[in-house]
Amino acid sequence: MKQEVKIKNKLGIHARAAMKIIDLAGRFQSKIDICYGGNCIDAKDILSVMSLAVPCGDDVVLVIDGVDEALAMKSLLNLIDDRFGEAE
Amino acid sequence: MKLRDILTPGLTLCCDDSIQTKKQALHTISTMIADVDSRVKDKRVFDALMKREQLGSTAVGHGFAIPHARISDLRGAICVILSLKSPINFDSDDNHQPVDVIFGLLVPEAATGGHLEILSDIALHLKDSDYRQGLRMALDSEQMYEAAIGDFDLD
Repeated sequence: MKQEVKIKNKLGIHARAAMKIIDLAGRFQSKIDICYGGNCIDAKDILSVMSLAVPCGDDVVLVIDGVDEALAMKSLLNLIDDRFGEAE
Repeated sequence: MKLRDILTPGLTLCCDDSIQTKKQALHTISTMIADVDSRVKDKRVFDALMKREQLGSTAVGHGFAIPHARISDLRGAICVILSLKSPINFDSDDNHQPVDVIFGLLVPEAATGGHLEILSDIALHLKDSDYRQGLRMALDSEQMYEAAIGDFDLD
């Protein structure tokens, strides 16, 4: 499954947000990639996610493949849509 | 902003053999930062770093950790690199790999984009096993500084 999503929180994908992504992605069996600027990285690898540096307002594409892909996609989209639990 | 822009020779400390806990490591980082920016007290830095750790360990795997915080009154972003003779427990959730190299990163309160770039740059560097090896092979602080600002191949 593939889905484009906008990063809405003010700080973008900073360290804390990256940790939340990895934490969530790690719960699913599916292969989860985040693609940004022509680069696709493994969402379960801390350093890879941290190195993305996606700022507020930019889009990323989630590419998820596996038995629990639908749930994984929904959960990650929720996390991002919820601004990683941040106020703004 | 790149990692090498905010590193200075005085802020890399190699091969410490006295630090045995995460708190001691953060305390050392705080003192080093307070020493270079007179507007910032080491206790405030320590409290900020500890607060961030409570949200979740900043261990990133491979024996590295990147404790970080925003501090008001800070003149500019600072990065301290600390290497330890013996790895310590950094409360990481996964494999509990102990940490022996710590990048302490402080950014001014208002910083947003620059902060993101530095963390990203640190993460990119740490993905490179040659870079990680270079840091561990340093025998003194100067060598560690040279290894830290060294170039590597991004492909």
